[in-house]
Amino acid sequence: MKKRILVCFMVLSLMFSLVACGNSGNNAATGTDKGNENSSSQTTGGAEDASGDTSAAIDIWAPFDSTVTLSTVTSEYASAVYPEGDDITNNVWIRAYKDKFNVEVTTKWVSDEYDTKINLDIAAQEIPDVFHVNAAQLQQLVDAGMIMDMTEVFDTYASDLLKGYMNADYDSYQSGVIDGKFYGIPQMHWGIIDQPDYVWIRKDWKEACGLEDPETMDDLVNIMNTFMSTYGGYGIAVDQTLDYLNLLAIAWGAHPDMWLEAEDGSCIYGSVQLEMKNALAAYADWYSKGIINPDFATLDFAAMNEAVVSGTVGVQPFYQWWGYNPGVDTVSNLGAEAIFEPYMIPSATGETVMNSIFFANSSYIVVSKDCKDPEAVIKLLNFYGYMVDESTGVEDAATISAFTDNDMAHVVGAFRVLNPACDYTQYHEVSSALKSGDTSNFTTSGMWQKYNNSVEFLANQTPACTGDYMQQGNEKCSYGLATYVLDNNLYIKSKLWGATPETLLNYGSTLDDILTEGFTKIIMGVEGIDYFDTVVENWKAAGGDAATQAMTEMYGSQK
Amino acid sequence: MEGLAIKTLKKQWQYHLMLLPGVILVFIFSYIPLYGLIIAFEKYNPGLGFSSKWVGLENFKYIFSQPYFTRTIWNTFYIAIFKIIGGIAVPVIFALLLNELRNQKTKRTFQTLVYLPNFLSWVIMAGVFLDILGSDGIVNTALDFLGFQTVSFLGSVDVFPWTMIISDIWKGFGFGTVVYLAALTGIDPGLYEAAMVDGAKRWKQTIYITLPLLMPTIILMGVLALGNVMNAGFDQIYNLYSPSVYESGDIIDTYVYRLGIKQAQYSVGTAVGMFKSAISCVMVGLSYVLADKAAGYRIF
Repeated sequence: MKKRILVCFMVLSLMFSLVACGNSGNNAATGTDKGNENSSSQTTGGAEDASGDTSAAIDIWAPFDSTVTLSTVTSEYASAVYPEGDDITNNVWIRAYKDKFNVEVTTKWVSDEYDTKINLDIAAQEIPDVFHVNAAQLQQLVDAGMIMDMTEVFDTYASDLLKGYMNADYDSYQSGVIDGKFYGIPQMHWGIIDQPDYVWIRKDWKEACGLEDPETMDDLVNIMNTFMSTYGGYGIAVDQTLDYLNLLAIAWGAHPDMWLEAEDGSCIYGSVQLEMKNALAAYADWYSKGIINPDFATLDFAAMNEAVVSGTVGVQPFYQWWGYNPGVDTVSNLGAEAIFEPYMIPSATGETVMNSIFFANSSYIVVSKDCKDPEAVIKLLNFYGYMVDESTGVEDAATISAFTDNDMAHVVGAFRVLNPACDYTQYHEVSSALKSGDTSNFTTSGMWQKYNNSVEFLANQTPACTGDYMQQGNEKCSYGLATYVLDNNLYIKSKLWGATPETLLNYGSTLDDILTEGFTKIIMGVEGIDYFDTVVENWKAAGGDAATQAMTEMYGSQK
Repeated sequence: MEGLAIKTLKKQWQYHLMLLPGVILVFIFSYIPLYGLIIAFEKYNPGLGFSSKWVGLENFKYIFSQPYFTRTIWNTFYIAIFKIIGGIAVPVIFALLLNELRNQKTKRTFQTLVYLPNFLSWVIMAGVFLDILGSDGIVNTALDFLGFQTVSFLGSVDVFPWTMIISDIWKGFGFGTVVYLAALTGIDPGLYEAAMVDGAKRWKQTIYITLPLLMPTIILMGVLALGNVMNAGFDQIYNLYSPSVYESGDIIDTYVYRLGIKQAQYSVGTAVGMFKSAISCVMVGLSYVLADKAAGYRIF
């Protein structure tokens, strides 16, 4: 659940900044025509790049002799700003597929209820040639024998770059392999750099109160108390899912929602370990002292952020994308001084705090068994990688802009695989360029976007640029801390790394519901802290034991 | 006997013809989909459709093995039954009181006013309730001001079901009121005049004339409501509950939503739905018998 929201917001975050700070959108229409001419001459360059790795006889960049048709389905990308006359079914990408590869992509439907519609299509046995699915749907399609084994086609036609993505996150690649056959091409993610979590603290309040950076959990509690006595309101912004409050649990060495390895090599669930009990005891103490809003159990995500945006709370445990939401609203409402800055979650026990890292790939590209030209799919995926990662310095700026700015990079539906090393490299380049002013190392369009928006925020405090700035531009920014976490190995990876055991899938959210309910009662003081043991017993009885066993069978290192 | 049937048919065939489109629609949209119940006994895979793997009662076993499932049944009954009782008593009393008003304009104004909340969706109303029932909402501020202890209307396990029941009755009673007012206008004024001649005052008139004549309508509304006893109001509760009140507020529908729809567990969802329908069916039958026994009222 947490993961899915996270991925959603990564996507949201990118589109947000692009739209708001879009500086070159108006000339996109003319840029497109020019771009096509330019880039067709460039594809030869690409072919040379690629000819080294794949069989020399096949030019993976060559267009088809006769027009190939691929049907697909997609969902609307709300924040995309198309040039006049374009839409999600007819845009710069779709035209480029035709011009460069002689591949005609037709869209059977566009819907915001993507998963439901796909389920219906699967049930009606009328799937399009190419589409993206989640892990459960992938398994269903394989069981029903409706999709194609892409092993050979991928091997033959994938570019070095695309294969590199698979190698960079080999576990994600493996999760698309079922019974030794490569059925689902993982769409990947921007890298685990987006996973460490932080406590975000309001900058102007912290400075006005003369508070030091929090080194321990006691420091953090002191900050919350000082804010409350000075500015009123509550100490910390949390919501009813406990997802945000639980980001702090790593301070006690607890890893909620995550599968850990026990000493004997078996798998155990982080939410039901003793460390979690300690974290809950602290939360309950905060609640009784009024640091946590007594109504938190009725607050959803929007209501939680409302307190931040309206300036009634100055501390919020949050993911790396705080700057996109609620950051943008906070800056528009309270001004750039009211910005929250990220800090590492401080330790409550004196031990080193380890971040939780989860498996990141959630979407797979699948090709119908009835598709006649599966190699066309791989060609289009190569093209996406090329435009996003390799075109800078080769194509002219207007062309790249037409393909990537104004969220054009996100309207491609199933026809893309992301670079899992993207954000790590990007932050490195952007932060050094901001220090030195030297942008000559920029290789991707994303680097330019983050850089330009950070410069824009520094110059004009443009609210819409808050996201990119707080992620990569500010002196205290989330990716700065994340880089530190990754470089110093201050993290633990979930044991659930790849496919989810079916037993676990079958329980759905019921198991987590039991924990959320019990933990909420403990925090609100309805039950004492020892109720934790009862909650854990209930969890085990409801299927927690079975799930743990299934996890151990699949991922445990003991045999 | 057979001759009689043919004779009746000859006389009434127009009526049967008029009935036919309705019967066909019910058959297509309510009976044919019953075939889909097969999903409840399978491990449903959309790609394989109805020919998915047969697992017998596995899905039912799974539901009942869940420690909190029985709790949702109890919660559903508890909330639904009080909603039904209140949903009958309140509009009847209100209609009787409204009926006593002399001024037609006032009467109509009140009638319209209480009917209004009925048109607002729970998604909107939930937003309003979350606001006014919060710990610093208007209700608790007032309670605090008057020296009472504040109440956690949406966060307390004991209070939550009653917040649901009362707010739902408040929202819906306007509709019932209109129905009962309509029934009241159908009562022969001659009866009241006769009672007045016999010296019956307002109270006696209500007890001996109004209520008995209103009874068929009340029973009809009651029978119709009992069919909904397994529906404790998904849209209301889903928008207002939170994990802290699952214990008393989690009903079958919200449970199925979290289990079945969110996770696309079609088989389990269908199994619970089937179980629910079975109970509802029994309840409707029961209420029909009760209505017949207690008030001599029959639909058929």
